[in-house]
Amino acid sequence: MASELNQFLRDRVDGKNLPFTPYCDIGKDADVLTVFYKPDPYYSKRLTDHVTLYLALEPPHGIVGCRIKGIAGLLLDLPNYIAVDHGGIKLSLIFLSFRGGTEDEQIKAAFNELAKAAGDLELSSAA
Amino acid sequence: MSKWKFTVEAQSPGNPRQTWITGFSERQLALLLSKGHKEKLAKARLAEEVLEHPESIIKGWGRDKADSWIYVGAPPHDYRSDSIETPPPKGKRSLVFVLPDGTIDDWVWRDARTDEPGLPDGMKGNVVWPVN
Repeated sequence: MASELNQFLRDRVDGKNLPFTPYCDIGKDADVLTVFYKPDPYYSKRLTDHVTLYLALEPPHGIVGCRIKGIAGLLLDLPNYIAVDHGGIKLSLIFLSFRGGTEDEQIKAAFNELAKAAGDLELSSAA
Repeated sequence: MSKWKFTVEAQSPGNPRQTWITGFSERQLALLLSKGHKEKLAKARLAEEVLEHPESIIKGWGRDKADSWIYVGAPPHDYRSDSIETPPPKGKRSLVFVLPDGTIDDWVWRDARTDEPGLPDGMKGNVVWPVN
């Protein structure tokens, strides 16, 4: 017998035209920020103690999104360093704050790519 | 009102013959639907399977959420969108992250360790099941 979840997915998702929209979301219970730029199938790879990358399963394994742990403390501190307009914080600034803490060139490059992909996404769009 | 839209009877971390109730939050499923994240929604089926039949269960991982559970599985298939099954990605394990209150927080593929393929690469925490 199909589970309730399966039935829900059959009714609301399978075969439906649901256009993907890039998004960022703050999960307060888990204290994480989740970001998705693309809808591609992906796997996760740890970048630092705080940041996990979501990479495309298909080569060349480009960045699909990421997940940042311990986001609450960072969000509390950020207004001390930058002016926050309209209550929104550019997502790219989050990556800048992590980039500054590493000397590893590969990790820096990954943060640069994350920031570039972030474009105009703002944390205020997180529900 | 429950914060979960759907519940899953996951294998109990301490006793494989028992289950405990975990759940997908209403909020997260609504977010995935509103953003059209069909790939992630499809893989919720995989999360359900791994929670019911894990290969191993790990306690702790995140720095601040040490009491979270990570269910590790090797399902024989993947869901890339909709309910169409595809082969699982090679050399990967399916991970499901569960918060201490039972909320299913995330589900994702990750590379398996080369020296111990049943466990995920970069694992932190302790394997609580199976007990060696």
